[in-house]
Amino acid sequence: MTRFIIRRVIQSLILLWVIMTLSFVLTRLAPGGPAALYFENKNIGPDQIAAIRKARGLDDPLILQYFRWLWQTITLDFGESLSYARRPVIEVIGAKIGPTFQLGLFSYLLALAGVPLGVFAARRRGKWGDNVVRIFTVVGSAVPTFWLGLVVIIILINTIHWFPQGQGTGGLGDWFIHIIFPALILSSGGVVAFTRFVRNETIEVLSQDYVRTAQSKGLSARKVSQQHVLRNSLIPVVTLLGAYLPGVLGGAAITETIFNWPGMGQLFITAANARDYSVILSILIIGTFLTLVGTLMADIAYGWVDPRIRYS
Amino acid sequence: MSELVNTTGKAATTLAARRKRNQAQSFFAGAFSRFSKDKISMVALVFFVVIALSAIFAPFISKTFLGYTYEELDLTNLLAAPGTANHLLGTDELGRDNLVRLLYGGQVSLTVGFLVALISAFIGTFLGIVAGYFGGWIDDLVNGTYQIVANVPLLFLLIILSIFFKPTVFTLALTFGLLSWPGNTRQIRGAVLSLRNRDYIDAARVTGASNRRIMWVHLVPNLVSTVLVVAGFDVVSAMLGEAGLSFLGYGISVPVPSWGNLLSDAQSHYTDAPWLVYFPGLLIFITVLCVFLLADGLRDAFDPRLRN
Repeated sequence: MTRFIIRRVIQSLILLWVIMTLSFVLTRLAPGGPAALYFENKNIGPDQIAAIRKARGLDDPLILQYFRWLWQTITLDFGESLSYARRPVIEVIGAKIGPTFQLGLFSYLLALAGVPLGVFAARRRGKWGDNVVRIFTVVGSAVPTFWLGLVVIIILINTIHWFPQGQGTGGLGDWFIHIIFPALILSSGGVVAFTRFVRNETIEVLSQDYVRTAQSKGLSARKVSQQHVLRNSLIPVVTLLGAYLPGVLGGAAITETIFNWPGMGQLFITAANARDYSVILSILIIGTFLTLVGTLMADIAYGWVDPRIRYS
Repeated sequence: MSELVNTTGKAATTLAARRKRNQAQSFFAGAFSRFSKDKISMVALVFFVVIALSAIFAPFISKTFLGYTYEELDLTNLLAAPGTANHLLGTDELGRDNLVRLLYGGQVSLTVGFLVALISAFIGTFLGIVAGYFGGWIDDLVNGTYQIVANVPLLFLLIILSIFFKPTVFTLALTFGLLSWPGNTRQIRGAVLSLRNRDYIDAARVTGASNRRIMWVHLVPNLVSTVLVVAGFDVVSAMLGEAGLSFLGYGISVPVPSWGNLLSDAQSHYTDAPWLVYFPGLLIFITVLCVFLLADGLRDAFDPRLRN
């Protein structure tokens, strides 16, 4: 187990390093060179640019710049944002993590609706209840979620002449009515994934010998399903919790943009539109980091809840 | 007498036919016949072929039947509703015919979808076979790379890359494909692991077959079904991914619109022209649904045990 964790941590660090190095290379490739990242102003003369280059250490050897940049990034010094009044990038992003966390957590909770749905479908395998769930998952896998969001907005506009934009300003009720629609849209992929996954797992577990043993020794159907089937079929869900995280972060970019939710995803898109390289590259790094931590935790939790898994 | 001869002759032929029917079908023939008997798959196939053909022949169809090109402006009919002013599915804010643009839109979306599937199925299959067959450090290396690539925040990276390097159909498909093989590798590797210890592989090795021959002659044909299914689901995720990317404005910028681009343009017309939102999304949905059902149907056809 310890070896497994160490190996996964090393893998995570390698990916983080690859993404960071890629970001560094991209800042050097940015139109106008790295100096343009700091001052995208045509009125600045050549001697001023030279001064900036010197002050920022841009004339140093590339390898030195690279390690300095790496150290700054590790210590969360992401430089200044171009489009947000030259505020430190970490401040700009920090203000957006909260809303994205709310939205992400909410959609995770909604996505868990897939668990009972999957168990339900597996128990009624082949009957119409199962078929309804399967049609739902097939349709859900094929529908572009951002389009679904747009259609929901159009329907809301045409029926109640209102649609959620931003976080709302009122109390808890106002917050809820603003978060529920984007969270539903963001969770749609997750609900489908969880349902399919849990259905397959439950079907698998139902055919195991220990379930037949439990049934034949006269346990009630409820006891069998609660103590033998459910427990075993839910174990792998833990890994899905981790695997779903990149999807939530990527989906947040689209969902937050559609619903104007002030989170990291929306910030990423507005910064990309403004060609604010330092912000988008920092979000890439932070997003990668969060994803890695999430999947790593899920993997470790998997080994912990399932004693049969002894990672070698 | 002659009647009797006749009937026995007939009986003989039906008997031969029955015997032929009962003969073990080849793996692919069996799968194909199961697939062609599956109603859902066939309906999906028909829909998909119709959509693909109308995308391929978009120039011809729009010229001969609809009378508009994809960039022709009808300035007297801006944002015309569907069915009005000789525009079957309405027009956009510049008076361009929505249906014509939708027909063309399929070209980019389908090309990207299938190119990505081709690339990632190729990489996934290659790495899956190598990792599963050789095991050991090669397997570890592939697994390690798999873990790394699987955790890349795909959408963020694609957007950033598209800012720095304006993507073409091919480069977008290439980056997408290079980042989406991990799922395939895992599936193929699993399939190889279960095949590797079969008797006929041992037999081949005993007779002195090289690794390359075993992989090409004994493994690859047995993996075709898995690869086809995996590639089908790749098309699904690639088409949805391209649509999302184009919707955000970071897809392929070509004169010909893609369905995602059309949706992106439609955003500012939620209220006054909702049909510009409805139809591109509906087409993405139907096309992706067809591919999904076809992949699902193929999987069932190749592995009837999975069926309910």
